Order: sequence, then C-alpha cells, then structure tokens
Amino acid sequence: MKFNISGFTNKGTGKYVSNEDNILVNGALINEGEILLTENEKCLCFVSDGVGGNNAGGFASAFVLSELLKLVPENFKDISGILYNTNSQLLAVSESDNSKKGCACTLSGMIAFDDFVDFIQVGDSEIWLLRNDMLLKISSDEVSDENKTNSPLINYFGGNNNILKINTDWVKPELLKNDIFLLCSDGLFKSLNIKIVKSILTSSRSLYEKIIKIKENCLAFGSDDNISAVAVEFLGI
Amino acid sequence: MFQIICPNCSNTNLFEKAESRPAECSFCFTTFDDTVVSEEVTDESKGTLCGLKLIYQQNSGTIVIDGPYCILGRENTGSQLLSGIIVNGKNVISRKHCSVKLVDGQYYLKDEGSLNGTFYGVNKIDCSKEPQRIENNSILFLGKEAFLVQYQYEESGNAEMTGAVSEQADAQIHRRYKCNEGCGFESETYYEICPKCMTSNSMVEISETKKDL
Repeated sequence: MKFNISGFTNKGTGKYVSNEDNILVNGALINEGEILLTENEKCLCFVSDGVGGNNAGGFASAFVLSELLKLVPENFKDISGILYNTNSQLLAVSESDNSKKGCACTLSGMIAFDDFVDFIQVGDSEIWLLRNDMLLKISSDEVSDENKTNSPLINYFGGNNNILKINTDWVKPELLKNDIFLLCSDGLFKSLNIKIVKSILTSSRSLYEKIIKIKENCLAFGSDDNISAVAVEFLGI
Repeated sequence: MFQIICPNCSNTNLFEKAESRPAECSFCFTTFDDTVVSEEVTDESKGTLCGLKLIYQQNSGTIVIDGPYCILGRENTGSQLLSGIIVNGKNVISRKHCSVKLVDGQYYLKDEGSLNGTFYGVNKIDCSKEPQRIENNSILFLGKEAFLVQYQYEESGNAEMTGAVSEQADAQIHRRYKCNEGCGFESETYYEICPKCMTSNSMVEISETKKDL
C-alpha cells in the first residue's frame, strides 16, 4: 500500500495561548506546524485533542501520542490493549502530579500497513472519508448529545472519572484507490463548513496545498479552538 | 479588472484580463466551468457605494442593507435569517444585536448591547466599545456566527443616492492595499486572503487619497 500524507496543527486565533492538540504522522510528533510525506508504504497517523476545560490538556495529548510513537507493525493488531495501557499510565501520572490532575484528551487515528487497516476514535476527534465526490463522516462523536455544540464527552483518555472504551465494533471502510481520509480535531469544522472543506479536498491541487489551504481558511475565518487535521490519500497497492 | 463570485463560497475572485480567467476559486478551490459567469469590474460599473450584503457562512443566506443606517437583529433588519440561527435550542442573535452606519463613505459596525457580542475581522475585534470600520470582503461575527460582508454599488448614471451616501460622495476615500508577504499584489479592494499568494491577513493599506467621483 502507498499513501501520501499531509497534516497540520495550529493553536487557532482564539483564547488559547498554546496548542493543546498534537498530531503524530509516521513517527513525527508535531505540536505546531505542518508535514508532508509522499508515497509512504505505511500509515500511522493520529490526531489528539487535549481537553481544554481540564488541566494540562496539551500534556495529555502529547503523552498519548508519545506512547503511540513506540508502535511497531508487529503490535498494530493489539492497538486496543496498547491504548488501554497508555490510558493507565496517563492516569498514574495525572494522579501523582497535581499540575496534571484530571488531564484528558481525545484521539482519532488510522493505521495501515501490508494488508492491515484499522481506524481508532475516542471522544469527539473525527474521521472523514472523501470518496466519489462525497465527504462522509465515518466516526461518531462520543459526546452526551451529538446535536449540541460543546456537549460533554462520554469517552476520553485520562480525566477525573475515567471511562475509556476503545470501540472496535464500528463499521470501517475498505480502502479504495484515491480515497482521502481526513483525521481532525473538532476545531476544524467549528471553523469551516463542510462545503468548503469538500471543495478543497476534491480539487486537483496537491495534498499539501489542500491541507495548507484548509489551515489558511480556518485562520481567515477565525478559530476559537485549536485546529488539527491529517489527510491520508490512498494511492493503491 | 474582472471578477467571478464563487458559487460555492461567495468569495470574489478578481483577475486582470479576460484571458487570465482563473480556473478555480482562490478560497475553496471550486472549479469554475463555463457555466460560471465572470463580469468586468470598472470604476464606472462599480458605481457608488449604496449598501452592504451580509452572507451567512453556514447556509449562504443573505441580508441586504441598502440605507445609511440600520439595526440588525431578530426583530430588526435581517430578522428572517437571524431569527432562524439557533444553537443548542437557543437564539444566539439578539432582538437588537448590532448597528451598521455609513459615515464618510465607510460603513461602521457597532454592537448594540447584544448578549453574545459583535466582532469584526479575523482577529475578532470587539465592537461593543467603539464602532469598527467595515472593509469590503471582510468577515464579521454576530456571536460566533460568521458573515462575509460585500459592498454593494449603485450603477453610475442612475444613482439616486440616499442622504448620507450623497452627502459623502464628494469626499469618498480612495484606498489601495498591498500584500506585504512578498508577492506584492496591489488592489483597491481589501482581501482577508491575498488572491495572488493566498496568504491570510497580508494585505496592508498603502495610500489614502481623496477621489473625485
């Protein structure tokens, strides 16, 4: 399998003085900036959104992705176990350090290598699929009321009343050539509407140009929240 | 100068010559096929500033302001659109939310004691303290709801201007803007995103002279 991958993470234009989002793209852990990888044979991409209302959200998202940085193809199939273990470690750290007490984060991710493909979603970080001119959300927001903005999360890493549940049951799509998967924090679609994101992703520009345009437009419209997105384009086998 | 208003996002795409018509929108990359019409923009065709058009970014609904002063709100101008903006089951736009006033050939935006506030531009300048000058093709926020603002011009020759517009016509300010990010693009129109190099917030004012109409 081959993939083009491009992503960015940015603190936005709102209240945040630092970026509590982090992205992990094939071994590169990024807190602020952009990345482009072309024709990679592996896809190990995650977006983690530190929960802003809690203590040290940025620490939580960086912690979870630092653990995922250690993933090797041999243990891709045990991703659920690794994530539960990561959560236990995060809780241990947050309980032993008052400055990190209650820290929490969400996660969306895509793993693809050889014939193995998996998607991970925890909380309200999102996964979208652009296929045949349609942009579809394939993840569901794990919040108490999906129709309300800023509805409380019902699934997350860390936090005070930890309830992490790695969902392995949801329907995950097979990869088709030219598919573009978009992993993003909830900040992206708070800032831009779907019509504009879809229009950018369906254009004939390079994946990097598309992702930079999405970032520029988010900043132009203004983004109260941190914003992160990773686009994965499947080039075929 | 020519322009294409993007049918997808309402962005104004300006270009110098008919043969250099852009293939796509500089904001959302929507492809402009033959059905998308371009039009020539000249000082004559531009006419006299006579109002504003607000385009709600969530559903492309529009509010047209055609006088020198109006109040926007659920029970004022734009009530049909504004009263339909409901978040978490609540109206987020106040009955009397903000006002738009024409002063010296420029529109100004002021909050009128709304619950969720009125903010101007990418940097979300609070309009409750003092009125903010509205530039063409800029963004304003009623609460958190984004609106694109476009100037409306009356055709020259048949312009029957409203009082304040007429009084200010002789003193209309002629401004130019330049991209300070290196591409050097210059225009009489201010853009949130430079149409040439696509950098946001890069346009700065470079001159301000009186223009004879």
